[in-house]
Amino acid sequence: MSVGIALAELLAWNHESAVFWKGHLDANPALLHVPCGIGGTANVHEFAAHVWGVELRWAQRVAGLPLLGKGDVPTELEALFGLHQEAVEIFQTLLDDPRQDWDGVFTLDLDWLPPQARSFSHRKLVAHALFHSQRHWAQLATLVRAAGFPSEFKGDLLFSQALA
Amino acid sequence: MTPAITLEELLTWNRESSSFWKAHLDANPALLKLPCGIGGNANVQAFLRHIWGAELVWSQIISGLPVTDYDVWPTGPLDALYDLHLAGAQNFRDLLDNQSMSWDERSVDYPWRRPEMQKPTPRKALAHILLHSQRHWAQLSTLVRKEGFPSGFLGDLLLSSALE
Repeated sequence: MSVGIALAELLAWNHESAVFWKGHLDANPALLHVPCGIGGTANVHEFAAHVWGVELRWAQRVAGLPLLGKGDVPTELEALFGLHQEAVEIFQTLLDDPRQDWDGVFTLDLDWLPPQARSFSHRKLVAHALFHSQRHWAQLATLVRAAGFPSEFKGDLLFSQALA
Repeated sequence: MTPAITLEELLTWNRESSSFWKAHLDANPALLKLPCGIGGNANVQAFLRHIWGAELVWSQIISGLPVTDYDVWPTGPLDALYDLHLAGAQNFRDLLDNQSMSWDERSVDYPWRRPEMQKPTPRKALAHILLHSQRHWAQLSTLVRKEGFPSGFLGDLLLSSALE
């Protein structure tokens, strides 16, 4: 394979960003009530639930585990971050498994995708899940700044310790 | 083999997103005047200049080419801004085709690097700038939707044709 970024590096970057936002929201809990609107979420609290809930469900899908129910998403920030931590563990387990067939086809059972476009490699699904969060964190940085609370989030890969 | 997303795939995804926004803004030129604020840009047109200009500059830095000064980047029209992206993409293409690249050498020096920051590898620098754009496209998608002009941008990697 040609030069690239390992999924393990993307996972480390993902975790760095999640840790930043957990720390920032812990320190500034009022931000959780800032109106949002991204992905149909009413406020930042719901947005964090979306980001971390989706992350866990993608991890569970790829690992063949039962999915977190949408009604089972917790409300406390600490517990929401627990969804992220659980996802990281699952992703790490997948990455550590030498038998994992990364180019093997996985067919999703998601009705918002056309039937002819539901099959992806495991590699793509994990990369998608990890980028999904990064794209949302970028949106959150803009949102809280526009609301008058700049976060100093340095979300660019350049600033990450995940790779040299 | 370590599962990874290749820089080739990230470049393809990057090109897809730029093509989408170029076409969308060609079809909806009034969006260029929308107030922005992201990255200190006054409006969407200035934001595009930031995204595509940064691509060109990073492509030149990684390639060891003379860097186009910020002051001479065009401010418009849209076609001229998109040319920054096209020129950057051509440099990225040349880098990826260069068989003698030392991708893992900490060799990339950029003018605004602070002394305490290590030089990144070309691998990291290229991934950084390709993802820098993706993070900003996610922000732009939110911005135009909030202003009442949803773009229909499908920015998630899942929906990209860059990889299976």
